[in-house]
Amino acid sequence: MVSSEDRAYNAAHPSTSPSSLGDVTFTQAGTFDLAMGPADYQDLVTTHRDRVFTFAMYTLRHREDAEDVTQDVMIRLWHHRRRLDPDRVGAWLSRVTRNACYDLTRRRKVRRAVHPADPGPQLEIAVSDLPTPDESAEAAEFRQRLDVALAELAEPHRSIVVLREIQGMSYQEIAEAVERPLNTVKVYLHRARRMLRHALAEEENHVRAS
Amino acid sequence: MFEHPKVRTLPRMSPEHGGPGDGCQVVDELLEPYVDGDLEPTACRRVDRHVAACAACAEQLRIAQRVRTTLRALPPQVCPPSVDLSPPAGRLERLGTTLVSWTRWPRPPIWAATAAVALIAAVLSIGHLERSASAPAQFPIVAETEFAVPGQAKDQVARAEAEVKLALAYLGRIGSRTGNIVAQDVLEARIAGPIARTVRKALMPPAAPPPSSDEVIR
Repeated sequence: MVSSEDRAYNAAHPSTSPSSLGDVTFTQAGTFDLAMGPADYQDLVTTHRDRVFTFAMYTLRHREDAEDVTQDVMIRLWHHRRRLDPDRVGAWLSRVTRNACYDLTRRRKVRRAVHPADPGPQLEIAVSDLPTPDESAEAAEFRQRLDVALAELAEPHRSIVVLREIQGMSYQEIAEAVERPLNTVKVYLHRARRMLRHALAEEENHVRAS
Repeated sequence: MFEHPKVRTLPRMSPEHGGPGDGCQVVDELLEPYVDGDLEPTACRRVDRHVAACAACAEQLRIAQRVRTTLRALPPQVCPPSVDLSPPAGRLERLGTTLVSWTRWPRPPIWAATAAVALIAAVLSIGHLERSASAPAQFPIVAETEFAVPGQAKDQVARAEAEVKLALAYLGRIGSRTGNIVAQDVLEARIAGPIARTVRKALMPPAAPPPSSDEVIR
């Protein structure tokens, strides 16, 4: 269905069609100009695809689902490209990715409730399995244990940790992505890291005791 | 600077310094903001003093720092190139372009509206004549009594108008099934509206203006 915005655009640009549009420009209002073509979209995809995939992967712990979510998010980016603020594309993408992951998780739960015998997708508990070359065995083990503890965190703590610590987003961007006030985000982040610390300290104590 | 709500109520450390006391519990909540540098200087100094004397909290601080460092070193994942992220220029986009071209039709000229009215009126008249021939006429035919009796002519007009509206409503319903834009922008705004206005103008001449105040006085 064609929106009133699209109709207004077509009335103002009768000779152009969406497939033959030129370079992206920014209007004074800070939104993308309507002339954003496939090449500009591809630039955005190149910039953000790994970030979206990483977020989905650490949230869902399933490669194929994360790929599906990334594809879905990028299609939404294409459809919303005329209404996005270029300064907030990152936060917008994170929010959409998070919602898409929620939807998928909810569908998994419903499926499990309807078909109890269905084991569901095989989740990768530790996303970062392989040790890096300059990493000791003990450090790699700590990293894997941290990864497992991260997978067990509840929302929105896990999303905030991933967005802040792995993706390196600012508090403001995270607040927009998870739709919480900025101070709440800071408190949640500290609380989440405290939970991780307690989980790892407890595990270390068990190891020492045994 | 992040202001933790418990920073002002930081109690003194337990005298034993070996196990967790009240001070340890509070410091436990302050370690993450401390590691991030988000604490006020006063609270920082208190945490420093406590950690220097408490081995358990020093160990917790070490783990907190390591958690932060390791989290930041967790590897970002690379989206496989096999995932197709090209713009979805498929059927939906083409359908959108088609609908846009529909809505950009030029407004039909007045003769088109007149021709449409004439065509619909002719079709309805033929149908009406056929029905009148087969059944006893309840309404006199327009051609025989055209405006001879004003009341009857009005009945004819009202009936014809109702039939036109019915036909257009039917068309509109088909239009709404194929898309609301077609129904609203094309049928109603560009066909039904002009036809209704033309019929009203042709059959219902505007009433004479009220006499002016001068005429009334005379």
